This record gives sequence, C-alpha cells and structure tokens, in this order.
Amino acid sequence: MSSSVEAITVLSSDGDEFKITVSAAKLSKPLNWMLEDVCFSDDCDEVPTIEVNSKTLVKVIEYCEKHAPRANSGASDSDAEELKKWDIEFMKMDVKDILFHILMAANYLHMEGLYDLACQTAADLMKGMTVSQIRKIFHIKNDFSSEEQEQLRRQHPGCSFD
Amino acid sequence: MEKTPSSSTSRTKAKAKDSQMCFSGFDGMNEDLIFNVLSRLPAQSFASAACVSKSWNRTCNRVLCRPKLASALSLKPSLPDALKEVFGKILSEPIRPHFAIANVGNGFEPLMTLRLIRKKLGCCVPIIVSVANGIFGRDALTNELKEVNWNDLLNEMNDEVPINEGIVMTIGFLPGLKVDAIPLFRQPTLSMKSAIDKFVTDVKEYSTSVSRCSFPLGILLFGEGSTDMKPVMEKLDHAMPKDTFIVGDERGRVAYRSGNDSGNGYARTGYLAEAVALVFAQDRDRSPGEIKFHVALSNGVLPMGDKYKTASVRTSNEGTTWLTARREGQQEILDGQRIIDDVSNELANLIQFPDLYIGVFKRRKLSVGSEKPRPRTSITFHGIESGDEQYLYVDGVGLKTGDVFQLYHSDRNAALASCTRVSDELKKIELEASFKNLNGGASNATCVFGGLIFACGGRGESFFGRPNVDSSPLLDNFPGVPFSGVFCGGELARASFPVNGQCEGESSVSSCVHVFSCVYLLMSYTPSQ
Repeated sequence: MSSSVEAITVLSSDGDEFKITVSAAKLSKPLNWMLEDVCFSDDCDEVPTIEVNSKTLVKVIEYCEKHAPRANSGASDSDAEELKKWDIEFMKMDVKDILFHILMAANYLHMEGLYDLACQTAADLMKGMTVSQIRKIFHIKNDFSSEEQEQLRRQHPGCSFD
Repeated sequence: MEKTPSSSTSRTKAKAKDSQMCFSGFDGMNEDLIFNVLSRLPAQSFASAACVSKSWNRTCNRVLCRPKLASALSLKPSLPDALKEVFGKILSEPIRPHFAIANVGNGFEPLMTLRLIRKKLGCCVPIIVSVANGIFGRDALTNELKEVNWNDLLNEMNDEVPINEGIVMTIGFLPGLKVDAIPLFRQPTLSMKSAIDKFVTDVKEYSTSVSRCSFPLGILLFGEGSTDMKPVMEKLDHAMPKDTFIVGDERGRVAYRSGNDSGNGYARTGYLAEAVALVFAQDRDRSPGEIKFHVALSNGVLPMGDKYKTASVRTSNEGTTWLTARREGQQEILDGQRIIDDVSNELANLIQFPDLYIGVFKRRKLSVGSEKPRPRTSITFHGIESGDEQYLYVDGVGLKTGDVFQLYHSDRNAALASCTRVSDELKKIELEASFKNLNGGASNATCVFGGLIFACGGRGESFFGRPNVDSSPLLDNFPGVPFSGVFCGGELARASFPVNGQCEGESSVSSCVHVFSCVYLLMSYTPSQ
C-alpha cells in the first residue's frame, strides 16, 4: 500500500468490514495509528480490527466522515452552525439502544467531539425523568435498602421516584 | 475528561475478540464517564440521578463536592416569568440549595414570591424574600451585569411611588454548614428589648442544636420596614464573638420561611417578623473542607467641621429626633439653621449638594462572655432631614443630651477611593491563603466561590456617574464568580469605622449600621488536605 491511499478497510468486533477515509480516520488517534501501520507496513493482507460492534461502528464512521472536512481544514461559522444541526439530527437516531456503545466507542477511540456530544445526549435524555424511569432506561439496578430509600425521599423532596 | 482506555495505547492489529464493550447499560460503566454525564445535568435531574443507585449517589457527591453559589437577575414584569428565568439559570447546573435569598422590587408581592419559590425548591429550604430599593447581578438570559436602582426613579417622579418589577435570586450549597431562617418577633405584650433578647437566644440555640458551638459563623439580617435595627445590631454585636459576621439590609419588607427539618418551632411563614436572620452555623457532622466568610466595607462619607455636643434632645412619635447643640468647648446653643449654615460654609465648593448625616459617638464598657469589660467607642449615624430656627431634625432615635457628634456628608471621591481599597483587601483573600498553603497543590488552593453585596440606595450609577462601581471590587478580583447585590435602606455590618484624629487616641471606632456605604460578603473554600 502506498501513502497515496485514500481509504482503509477495518474490521468491526463482529468481523464485518468497513471502509474509512484517511481524512476521517484523523479524528481519532488510535485510528490514525492503525492507518499509519497499514500505510507503512509491507504486510498488506492484515486488516486491522476496531473493538466496536458493527452497529456502532457505522455511526462512528458516519460521524467521522461528516466532521472530517471541518476538523482538517477549519471551516467557517456557517459550516459550524450547519454541523451543530447535523449533530442534533445524528443523535436523534434510536439512540437509547446504541448511545451507550457510542459513548464507550468515543472514549476508546479518543474522539473528544463525539464523546462530548454523546455525554450531553445522555444527560439530556435524563431531564424530566423520574428516578425509576432513569433506572429503566439506563439499565441500573436499585441497590438501596428500603430505609435508605426513605431517607433519600426525605432528602430530595423535589424528586419524583416512581 | 478522562480517556485512558488500555486498548488505545496498543498499536497492534488485534483480531476480533470479546471486548469490554459487551454490556447492557450504564451499570458497569467507567465512573469517569458517568461523572461526565451527571455533571451536565440541571439541578432537578441531578437530584433524581443521586437516588438511582449507590454508585450514582457516590458519583453525584463527587460532582458536587465543593460549596457553590448560583445567582441570576430578571427584570421581567411578571413574577412567574421572572422566576422562570432566574430558576432556569440558577438550577441549570448541579446544585442542592441549602438556602435561597430573593431580592425583589416592590411590584412583586413578597408572600406570593415566597410561595412560588417554595413550590420550586421544596419545603426544606430556608427562603428569604426581601423588597429592596434596587438590585444588581447577572441577567439570567444574557449573563450581562445589570444594575437597577429604583431610588433614581423615585426622585424623578415626585410623590408617586413607582411600581418596580425585578428579582435577583441567590441559592447556595454549603456542605459542612447548616443554614436556617430565624425571625425576630415582637409580641404586643413584650417590650422590644425583651424581643431582641429572645431573638439572640433563638440564634444561639439554633447554633447549639446543629453544631458544637453556641455561636454561628454568621448572620444575614433583613430588617422589616420601620423596625429600628440599631438596638438589634448592638445587641448582636455584644452577644456574638468577633469573627461571627453580621451583615444585611436594615429596611426592606421581608417574607421568610424556615427549613422544615430545623425543628426550631418558630412560626414557619410570616410577615409579622420585625426582622429575619439567615443563620449560618457549622454542621456538627460533616466538614469536608473549610468555608470562610469575609466582610469588607466601602465607606462613602467624610467628616466636616468641628465636633458638637447636643444641648437639648426631643424625640417625636414618628421616630425622628429634634435637637440643638453646642460646638465643643463653646457655650452658645446653636439651632438647626445655624448648624445647617455651618454645613453650607464647609461645603461651599461642592457643586452637587450631598446627603448629610450626624455621626454620634458613644463610649461605653462592653463585656462579651467572660472577657473583662473594656471601653469601646462606637459611632451611630442619623440622616439630617432639615433644620429651622428651633431644631435640627434627624432620623432615628436613641440620642441623649450631652452626646458628642460630628457632621458627615456623602462624597463620591471618598467612596471611589474606598472601593479601590476594598478591592485591594479582597485580592488578599486568595493570595494569603495560598501563601499559607504552599505545599497544597492547585486542587487544595483556597478559592472565592460567591459573594453578596449590600450597597446604600444613594450609591449606584447616579452617584458615581457610571454603572457597576459597587460591584467592581468583586468583578476585578473574581471575574466569573457568582454574586448578587441589593441597594438597601441601610447597610448592616460589624465593621470598624475610620475616624483618624477625630476621636482621642483611636484611629477607628466600631459601627454596625452604616450610611452611604457598600458592604461585601465573600465566601471562600479551602479543601481539606
């Protein structure tokens, strides 16, 4: 492979193949490292694996491709506005299923922008929810004893629990 | 943001394998990630998140481990709209309110305001609503610093009292402290003196009940309407140790509500109190770091002419005092007109006629606790209302024949210079603390996290010729630190008042009720080592 390569192929943790452009891969340090490895290695047969499942990797790559032009060249304010709108739409997907995976992937791939966006989306998701709704949507077990629960109710009179 | 997944450091071309990414939710998630998400929550969702699970509860406590103040201002003419705006701002971040103070214009009914705030914050939070002469702080929507002094409108519009709408609200989270509102009640059968005694006892009892100490760290005091706060301040000044701060607004209209869990047994809501104290006491159980309060006073009056001794004193029913006086060392009795003439001679060079006061010196022996009685001089100010061929008319009571006083006038340059001095003084709070703690790194450094300002209603933009002078000592030193301010009817603070050369042998005398001043209360926090 020569350095003029424009896209590389990666494997998801489920073993599916994905293509990612060089400029998009620059959004993530680990991806960039893999890219360099591929570009400067003589052993071209091996396809690098990213420890992210296919469903999530599709989204991550989609995000990278969208943000790559701005990240690499620095764009105007109107582009930034447009990108913000796009981010909002992007996170409107059936986020509950894969939001957690996106968070983990962004963390693992050192993608600050996506990590920020996913954290904010998770926080926004919680707004206005009761305690048990939060537990349900985030799959968290209630490990408080009933006495502790009572105390919490007294401490947080503004909270709705059920 | 913490991002150190072990996998990212390896540059190997790993084969597909079961990764740590196989999980079903936030339960097993890295705590830093949850920390990041939870610290973005608004206050109410944050409270819910703290009840989700033990690990989330711990993380919430980590997010909110330092004390915090939040304040916002709105000039919306409708009370619900204005409240919506300020709540939108002050509850937009994680915070657990331990107290709330709302300063409003006379167009917002205090009891109604109180009710709406309570509905939002719940019944455990002590709340004080006070009608002020003006407010300043950062706008809830634009974050722009706004200063409104409703006194200025009053002058333009003659007799008609204009209706002023606006609110500045401050809430605080003070881990390690307990805060509650304690009223000063006066039963019809009781004298004011015994009512004040009872009030001081209540404050001490509250403090004893929540901490190891019978004295609180400090008191924010809000006087109601016509209540004469001078004896209240005097009594508190005697009863409390020196390092207990007492600051506040002498004249407002106050509504309050004590916290529910305080069990202090006072009537919980009321209009009828003569004054309300928001008492800050050390919590017996928890003190993760140290919260400190700092008080500074910017003075705005200058002395003029000779000293006088009152020759005759009469007190009217309306709470004013009529007096005649002699210049010290002279026999001739001067009426009101003669004293005013003296003033005019002294001030001949001033273009704008200032506000005039007499400062009455009192010397007496004080004993606090087991200390030996020691003589101390204090100064009390009374505004000069007018003078005629009989008397000089001043506001307030408590003068006696033979009292020594000095004439004072408000002065813009003195006030400006004093603001600069206060600014230098405040700068030292963080500097000195970090000097003491050279070994503690940046995370252990003392930082100022909030402030409250009580400025005289006569100050503000029309006095200084430009806005935000009263806020400048805070703005200059602590940009970004939340604070709120009011223009009051009388600034309360225990402070020493400089009287260089006017009082034999003393460079300053004590004073509790100030005129033309601006009182700063700052809160700082030093994490435990």
